[in-house]
Amino acid sequence: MIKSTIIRRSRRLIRSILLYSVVLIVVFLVASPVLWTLFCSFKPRPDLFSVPVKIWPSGFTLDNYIVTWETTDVPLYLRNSLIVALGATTITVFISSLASYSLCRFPFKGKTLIARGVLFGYMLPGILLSVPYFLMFNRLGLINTFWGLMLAHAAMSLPFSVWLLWTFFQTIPQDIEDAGKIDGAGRIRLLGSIVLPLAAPGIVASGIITFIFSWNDYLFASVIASANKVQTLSLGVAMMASRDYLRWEVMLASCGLIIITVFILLAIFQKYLLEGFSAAFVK
Amino acid sequence: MTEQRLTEARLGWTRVVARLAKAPFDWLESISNRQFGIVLLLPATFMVGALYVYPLLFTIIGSLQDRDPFGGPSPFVGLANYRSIFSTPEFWNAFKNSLVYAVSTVSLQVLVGLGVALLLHQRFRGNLVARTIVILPYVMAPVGAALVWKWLLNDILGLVNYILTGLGLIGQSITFLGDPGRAMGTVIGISVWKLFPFVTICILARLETIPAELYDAAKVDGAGPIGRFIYITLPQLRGVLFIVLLLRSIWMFNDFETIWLLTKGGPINRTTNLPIFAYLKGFTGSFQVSLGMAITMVMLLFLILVATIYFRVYSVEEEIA
Repeated sequence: MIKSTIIRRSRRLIRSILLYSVVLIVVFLVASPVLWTLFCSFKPRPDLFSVPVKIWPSGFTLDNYIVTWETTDVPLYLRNSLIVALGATTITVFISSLASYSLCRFPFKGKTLIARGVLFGYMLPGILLSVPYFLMFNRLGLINTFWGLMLAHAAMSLPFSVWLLWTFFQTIPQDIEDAGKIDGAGRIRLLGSIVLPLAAPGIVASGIITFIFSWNDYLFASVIASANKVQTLSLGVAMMASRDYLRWEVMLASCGLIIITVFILLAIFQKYLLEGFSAAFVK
Repeated sequence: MTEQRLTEARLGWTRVVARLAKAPFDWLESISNRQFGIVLLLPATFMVGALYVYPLLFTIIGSLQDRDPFGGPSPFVGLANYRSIFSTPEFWNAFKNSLVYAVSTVSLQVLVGLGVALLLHQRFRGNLVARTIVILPYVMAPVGAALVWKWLLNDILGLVNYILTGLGLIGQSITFLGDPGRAMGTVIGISVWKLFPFVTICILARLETIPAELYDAAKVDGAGPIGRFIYITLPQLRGVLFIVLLLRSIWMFNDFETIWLLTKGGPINRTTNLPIFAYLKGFTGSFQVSLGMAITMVMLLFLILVATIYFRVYSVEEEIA
């Protein structure tokens, strides 16, 4: 009796040791490239250029970040990225929540067709739309403006956002809305004070996914907003990287900024992000 | 006389504006349900019309013209652009690269993604932290990911060469992204690292919905862990695996940013796939936008093919019912 418990216990122990070591290895393999870069961004400049590679630096410093902040346009790029991403997110969230609510609640013909259209739109590659956008926006004077880039980003994130919220609104029971109606709430009050707050997790998820798309985008920025004064962080850093590719201290600090913003976003919104994906693809 | 009429008109407008400002949405309460539904759809319809339907038609027509991107005359040339593309070996090179890149990245992403999902589905302390770290590459800007790897793979300053030479695996430093023989393989590896978490997220979400009773029943029937995986987990994952496979195939066949930011299609076009070929034709050199549009039309045809299969298998009706 005692013997078998010991065997069982030790088996469980071995199993969990194995599990933890595999998890540690996997997590390390995935994260180490990013962590190494982040680590290097705090090394003093001479250590970055030492041959052979100096793994442990002589000290840690913020010099690379200070130099980047003061001698490059990275602060401008950060501001531009924030403007564009917030603008695109606002537009997408507004348009898609109204549309999804309507598609979910009101009678229409051809919903299957609309749903297929939405998914098809989600699959469309950016390069396909970037060429006509370039020509259209050129004629409309939207090239090198925040508005142009915001519209492009909002349009590109619209299908996923509509799809996500469409599946999300379905989880809100009709009864709650009916109760609100009986209490005499008009359509707008119903939408504003009952439906949208209940769909908040879905709306946050679609907002954060749009924000990340816009923040990360390089293709549309390079086609629509390539003038220095409107460059976003992604495009600006990429252009710096091909212009002065030997200034690794600046590259690493810029990359560090990108990594840190991702960390922050993930730390705050990880839950919504995962929920959003599972709502959209798994029912 | 006209003066007076103008003032009246202005007053009329101010009255309308004043009423709208006081209760801007009142008119929405008095229309029918159907009309209200349509009003809610209007902004989205407008956006889809202006930024999807119109650009697609524009592309179809533009690919049949010789467009001047800067507003000059654009004569109709029929299928000349397509003929000119299909007759260049560069196009077929790009097509081949798109295929090679798509097939290898998708299969590896799905394998790695599935493995990691099964691992993260286990119960252990720190599970949430592990999940957050695993999706990090996916959420990270492609520019950041490209810099990370360019730094790691640098032939003089990079850690990878340092480790490989230290272990004696290579005699002297090698270039990865700059070497014609190694560039594609390197890009594929980085792409798998960057994008497998999408597969993991989707599969994890599905794994969590498999009822535990199924496993208990199998245990009672004497199924071991491998048996349970083959007879319960895999069949349950079939649907999501299929969706993920198709979506990733489309995206990888048409992937631009991951490759462009690492190699710009080089060296000597070894990593130029269709989107990069289109970008190079349309946005660099002599801005042959019509050729660019013809290339993207070929990509669209591929997309339509895959999407048709997708809609055969994936029942949209069920999702929205």
